[in-house]
Amino acid sequence: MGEQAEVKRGFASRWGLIATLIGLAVGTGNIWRFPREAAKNGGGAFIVAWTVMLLIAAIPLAIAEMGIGRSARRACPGAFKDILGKKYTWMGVFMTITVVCIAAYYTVTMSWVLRYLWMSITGAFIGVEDKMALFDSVSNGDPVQIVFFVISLLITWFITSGGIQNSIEKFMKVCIPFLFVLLVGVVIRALTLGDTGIEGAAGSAAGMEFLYHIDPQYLLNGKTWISALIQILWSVGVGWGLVICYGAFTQAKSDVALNGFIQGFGNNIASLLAGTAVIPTLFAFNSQEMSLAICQSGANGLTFGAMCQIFESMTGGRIVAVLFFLALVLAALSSNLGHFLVGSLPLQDMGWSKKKANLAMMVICFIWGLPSAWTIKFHGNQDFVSGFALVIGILFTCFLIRKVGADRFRKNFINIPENDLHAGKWWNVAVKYLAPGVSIILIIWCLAPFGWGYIGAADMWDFFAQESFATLVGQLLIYLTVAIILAGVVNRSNQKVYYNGSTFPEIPEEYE
Amino acid sequence: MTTNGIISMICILGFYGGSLAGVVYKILHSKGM
Repeated sequence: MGEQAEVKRGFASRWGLIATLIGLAVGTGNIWRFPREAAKNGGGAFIVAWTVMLLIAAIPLAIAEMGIGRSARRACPGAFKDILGKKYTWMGVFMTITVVCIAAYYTVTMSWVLRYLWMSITGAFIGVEDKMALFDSVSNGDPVQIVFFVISLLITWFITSGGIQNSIEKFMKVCIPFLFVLLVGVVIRALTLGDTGIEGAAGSAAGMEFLYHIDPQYLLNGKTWISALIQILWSVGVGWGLVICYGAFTQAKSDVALNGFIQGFGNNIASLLAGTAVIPTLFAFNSQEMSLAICQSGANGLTFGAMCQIFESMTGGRIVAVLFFLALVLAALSSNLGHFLVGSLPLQDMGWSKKKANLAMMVICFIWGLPSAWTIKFHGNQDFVSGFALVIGILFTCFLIRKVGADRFRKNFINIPENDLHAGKWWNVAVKYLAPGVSIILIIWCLAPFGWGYIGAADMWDFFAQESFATLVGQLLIYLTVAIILAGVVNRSNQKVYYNGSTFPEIPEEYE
Repeated sequence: MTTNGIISMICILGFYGGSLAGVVYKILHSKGM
C-alpha cells in the first residue's frame, strides 16, 4: 500500500526523472552557445577544460541540489528555511527571483526559435539578403514577435499546469529522445556535406579537426578555463534551484549520485552533438577565418544569421532548418518548464493551489518578459545580470552544505544502501572547496579589469546601460532587497515542515 | 584530418561514449531508481 501511495506522487519512473533532468540541462545554450565557445577557445582544449569543470563543479553541485530538494521536500525558499533556519530563507528566495527573471527573458528566447521554426516551415527567410537585419527586425519592436512570446508562454504554462507525473514527466519522456534524434539527424547531414563547391571553404573535415584538435597552448590559457566554467555552470543548470525543485518530487529510493552523473553527461553529450553539427557545417560553407569571425559575432549572429544563410545554400537545407529549429524549440521548452516550476512551487508551498501558482508565474513572466520581447537590449541586460546572480546561487548552495556538514549531508541525504553509485569523500572536497573556489574566481575574473572590463569602463555608473557595473550591482541589490522582504512573508506563512535532519520524508500530499 | 585531430577526437568521444556505456550498464543492473 505504502509503495503504491509513493508512486502516485512525484516521478513515476527512473526514466522519467532522467529525461526531466537532462531536459532541464539541455537548452538553447547547448546548441548555439557551446559550438561557438568551443570554436573561440581552442576546440579540443576547451572540451577538455569543460569536462574537468563538469566533474569538479557541475556534477557535485547537481548531486547537492538533488539531496537538498529530496531531504526538504520544498522549493528553494522553504528548503533554506527548513534546513538552515529562518534567517537564511532569503538565500532561497534570491535564487527563486533569479530564475523567475530568467524565465521571463528565456521565454522570449524560446519565442525567437519558435518564430524561426515557423519561418523554416514556410520558407520565410529564404531569399532574404540580409539575415541579420531580419533578426534585428524580429527582436526589436515587432508586434508579431509579441504573439510568438505569448504562444511560448502559454505552451510552457499548459505543460507545467498539469504537474510533474501527469504532464512534465510524460512530456520529457517523449521530448528528450526526440531531441537527441533530431540532433543526430543534423549531425549526419553536417558530416555528409562533402564538397560544397564554394570557393575558399575549409570543408566539414576541417571543421571536425578544428573542433576536436587539442592544442596544449590553450590549456595554459586562463580564458579557456573561465569560458569552460561559464559554459558548464550555465548549461548544466546548477545554482538555479532547478534540481532542488525537481528533487522534491523524487522517490526516497532514487539514486542521487548516479542521476547527477547522468544529468551532467547527458548535457555534455547533447552539446558535443550540437558542436559536431554546427562547426563542420560552418566550415563546409566558409573559410576557417570567416567561420571564426562568425563565431565571434555571438550566438544570434551564428544561429539567425550564418546558419540560416547556410540552410538556404544547402541541398535539403529547408528540412535541416526545420530539424535544427525544432531541436532548439524543444531544448528551450524543456528548460523553461523547470524555470516555471522554480517560480510556482514556492507559492504552492505557501498554500496556493497549483493552478493559481502557475497562473501567477505566467502573469509575472508576461509582465517582466514583455520588455525583452520588445527590445533585444533589455534581453541582453537581463542575461548579463542573471549570469552573475546564478554564480551567487551556487555559493548559497555550497554554504548550505558546509553549514549542515558535507560529510553528514552525504551520508544522510545522498548515499542510501539501495543506491547503485555512492558519492565518496571526493564529493565533500568538491562542494566545500572546488565548486565555491572556481565560482569566486569566476566572479573576480569577470569583474576585474583584465576580464570583461566593466570596472573603469566609460559607462561604469550607467544603470541603464546593457552591460555595466552599475546595472549589475544595482539590479543585484534590488534582487537582494526583494528577497529579504519576501523571506519575511515565507517565514510568516504556515507552510508544513518535512525536513527531519536524518532521513528522507515522503513526497508531500500537496505535491500530487 | 591530422593525426592529432583524430587521436583527440577518439579520446574525447571515447571518454563520453565509455561514460554513457557505464551509465547504461549501471541502470540495467540497478536496484533503485
